[in-house]
Amino acid sequence: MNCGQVQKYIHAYLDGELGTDISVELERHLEGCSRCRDQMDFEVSFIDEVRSRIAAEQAPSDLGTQVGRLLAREDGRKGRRRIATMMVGFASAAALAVVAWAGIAPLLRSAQDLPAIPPLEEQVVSNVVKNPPLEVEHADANAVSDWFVGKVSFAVEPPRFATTELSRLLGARLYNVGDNDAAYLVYDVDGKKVTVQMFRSPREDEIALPVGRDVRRLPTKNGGWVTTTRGYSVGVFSTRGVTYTVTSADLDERDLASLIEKMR
Amino acid sequence: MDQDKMSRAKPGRRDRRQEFEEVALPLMDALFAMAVRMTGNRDDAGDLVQETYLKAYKAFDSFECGTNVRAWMFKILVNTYYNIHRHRRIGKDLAEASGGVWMNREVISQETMRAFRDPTSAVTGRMTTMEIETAVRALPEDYRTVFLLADVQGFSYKEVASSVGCPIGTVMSRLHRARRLLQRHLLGDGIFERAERGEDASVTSLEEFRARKAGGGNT
Repeated sequence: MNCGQVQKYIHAYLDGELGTDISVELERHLEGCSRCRDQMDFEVSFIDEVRSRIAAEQAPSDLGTQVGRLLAREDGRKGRRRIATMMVGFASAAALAVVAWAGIAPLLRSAQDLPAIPPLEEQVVSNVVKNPPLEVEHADANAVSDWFVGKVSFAVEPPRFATTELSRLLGARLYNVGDNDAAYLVYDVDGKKVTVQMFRSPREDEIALPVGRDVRRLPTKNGGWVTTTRGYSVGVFSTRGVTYTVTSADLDERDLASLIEKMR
Repeated sequence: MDQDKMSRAKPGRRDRRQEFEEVALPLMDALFAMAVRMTGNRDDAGDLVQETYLKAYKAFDSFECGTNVRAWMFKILVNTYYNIHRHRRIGKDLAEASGGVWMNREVISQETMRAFRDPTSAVTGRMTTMEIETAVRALPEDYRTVFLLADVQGFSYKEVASSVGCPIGTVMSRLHRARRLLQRHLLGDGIFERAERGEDASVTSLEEFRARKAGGGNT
């Protein structure tokens, strides 16, 4: 190593971040070069000086209170959502009882229609139909996961499809499903395009098994189901508070269901 | 059953919040210090810190206990900041490219090193808190972020790389350049002298250096 290369690595060396091999070479050079040793001393005292003089900041005294209030409000919002969901549940249960007693089938639909949102499968398919441009194109699940930090309120771990076929992540973007921020991930599974949308839904009724619609249950995904709409197969399930929807126009319901069963 | 669910859910949330507050609130001064130097003023810094806490709290379920909560919170802070000010990142490659030119070719003069050891010299006199803060503010944004995380907050290169979302090699070169820019700002343009002839300082990466070594290059 020569003096010029010492210049290059000096800071990483001082920070203890240089690999052993290269550190040894650098130290060997230092033994025979007083000029570089002087420089090393200079760098150390410069950094120490800067560090010691950088003023410690104190957060404004009311910032803690504001943050506390913000968190409490967030809890309140979650609580209200849960109660709203429960009330919808009570209302549908009551309506269903009336329906069963009177035996009037058409009322069933109005009871189910209480949440005034389009069915989840319609929402996710209309997202896929728009074919939105990807914001990050990456096959590396960790890089995609990192990209979502701070963008959505949950950890995005791109699922893997444990198939014998070749499957790879093409990329991702931030999107919405209803009012929820969603991670929108596109895969190529053995030449078939598969889209996964992940979000944290405050509305349990939104993801519940749709009654009276033609759906196939997913036996290994608790409460999960698969259906077909507008030529797309759609699978829905939730784990640990995060809802996953899997959509593909290239797979039929049965194939999509078996693909989802193999998701990790 | 629904009744049961509600009575269980409430204390659960409160416990969770308490847990979050216990680990996250002690970091507020450090996060604020970072935010002030990133945003340039205390009002925006306060907003950034609040946003950071809210995001962290919403994502707290996914946080694994035992991992570094400090690094996690700073990562969210940096990400939140860049999400808001994403447009400002345009042109960072330009700054990076131009920054490298003189720094690999010039070295600190011996005169400067001598002067720095003398507490009465004009050189050390310039190292006041206010001057240092000004110099830090004058750093290009990406260098400043790396400098603040590594030198002020004491994160490892790996943690900085994770927060900023760049390779460790980039952290290394940005930090190196940030410190050189600070030296130039604080100690004056005259502190550098050109590298002597024959000193090859243009090696750009560890890999390249090793490859050259393996190929029998001179040391």
